[in-house]
Amino acid sequence: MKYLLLAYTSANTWTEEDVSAEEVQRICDFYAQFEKELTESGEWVGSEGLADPSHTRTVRKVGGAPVATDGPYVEAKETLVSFSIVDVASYDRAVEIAARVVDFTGETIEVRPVMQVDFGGDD
Amino acid sequence: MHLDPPTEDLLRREAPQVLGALVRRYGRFDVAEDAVQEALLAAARQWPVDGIPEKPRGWLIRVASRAMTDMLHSQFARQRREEQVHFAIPPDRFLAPAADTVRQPEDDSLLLLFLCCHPSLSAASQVALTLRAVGGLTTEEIARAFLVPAATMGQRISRAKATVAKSGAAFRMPAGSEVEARLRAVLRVIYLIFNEGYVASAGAELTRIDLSSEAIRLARILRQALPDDGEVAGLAALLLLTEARRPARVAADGAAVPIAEQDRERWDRRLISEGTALLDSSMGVTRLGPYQIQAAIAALHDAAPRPTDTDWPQILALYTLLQRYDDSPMVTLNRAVAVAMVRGPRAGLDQLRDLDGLGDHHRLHAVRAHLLELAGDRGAARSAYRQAARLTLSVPERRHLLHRADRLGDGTAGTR
Repeated sequence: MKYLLLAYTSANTWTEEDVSAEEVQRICDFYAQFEKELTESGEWVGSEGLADPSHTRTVRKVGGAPVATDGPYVEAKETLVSFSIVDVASYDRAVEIAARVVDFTGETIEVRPVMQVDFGGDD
Repeated sequence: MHLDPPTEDLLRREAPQVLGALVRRYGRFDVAEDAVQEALLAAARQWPVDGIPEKPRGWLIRVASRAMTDMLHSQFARQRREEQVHFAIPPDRFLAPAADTVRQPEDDSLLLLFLCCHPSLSAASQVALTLRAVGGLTTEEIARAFLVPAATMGQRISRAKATVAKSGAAFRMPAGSEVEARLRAVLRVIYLIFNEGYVASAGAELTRIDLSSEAIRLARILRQALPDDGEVAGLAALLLLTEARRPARVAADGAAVPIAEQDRERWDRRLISEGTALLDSSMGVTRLGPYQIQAAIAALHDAAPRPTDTDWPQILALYTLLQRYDDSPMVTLNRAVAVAMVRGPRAGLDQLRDLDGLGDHHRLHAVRAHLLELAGDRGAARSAYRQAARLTLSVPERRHLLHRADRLGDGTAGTR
């Protein structure tokens, strides 16, 4: 079963001046290791980190036509900072993987099952 | 390699077949892969000059077998054999006939199946290793079939091989008492592969290897190796009888079509006869088991020219029997449908009361919705369909459930 791990961070962490280069490096190193381990265990599908939320553009329908504007869809205290997809034996295993990241970064992670293109079991 | 595309395609198509033949013959994955690579290089060098041989696969297997024998006998391989015991081969196996002699799959495939389904492996690893070793699929193909990166699948397979090696499993049949447990694991893995491949939406999924056909092929190999085992025959029959309905399983818009609404003209009669014959030959000959019972249920569905011709009393009796082997909520759920068809929807709904164990499983709500619809309670049926649609993780199933809900209501768009 595939699960999407959505990592959130408080929106102002991005811009706070006390986030040092070392801290960013530390997190990058952790994620590189995380990805390596999950690849080796045969559970990794994909993972990406997202750019600073100031780069966000939102496309919505205005008066029947799509219009792009600068800025996020909702102004939130929490913002999405990265996402990973894992292919694991159980929901518990997905949560266990998320817990490792949370333990390290202190960020909050949402774990969500990915829809399948297959049918379920019986006709 | 500078090959014309048809030749390159041919090599790509044949490579896994050649690898499969070698692995079945020698049991050494790591060496077999190197040997197949050598044969492919030789083909790339010689075929453009000499032309494509009449039997390209035989040519490749012959060259790869020679390479493999050289490798196995070389000092280097001996050292490696001492260092790594996985897929170790007893010395007498070197006296086996050449890999390119035409022959029935024999104990090699059975041994490999048993080895791939080693109890120290997770189900996902058993599945991957089985497809690789016995199915002869490439890592890339297996990765595509399971929609994961090739590197991830490669690691999954390597780790599985290492785990089997660490457990000290030799390339021989498990001991007496273990055989039964291991065979059950093999049956389950083949069933899992089939289910994984029982994909209905064509278009987007054309790139996926047809795992259902692969599972049927594996079931046939197992059946040839163990012709007297009723459950082996039962599994093969179940897969054939289920696969027979596949052409009717999906609507033009990609939604799931339940069995009662399928166009039975589109069922594959050839598969139905084969599956039914296989089941009949195994029934009463050996002890009964869950796969034979499930196959018998599938056969009864397939035998009905119209849904109203379905022998529901017999299906109900079979589900009652199946519960003795498997009292999982899913069996209870399917039995509840049979109860409803025999004694009426309310009787079926009564059966669902004992299924608290399923909690929020979508199938429980889907069945409840179906029975409420039969009972004429449109409002309750509609909300149960919607609840099931919210809970399912299958895209085509979700569409089907929303269709059902809309049919009962005012046809408003489905909720997310």
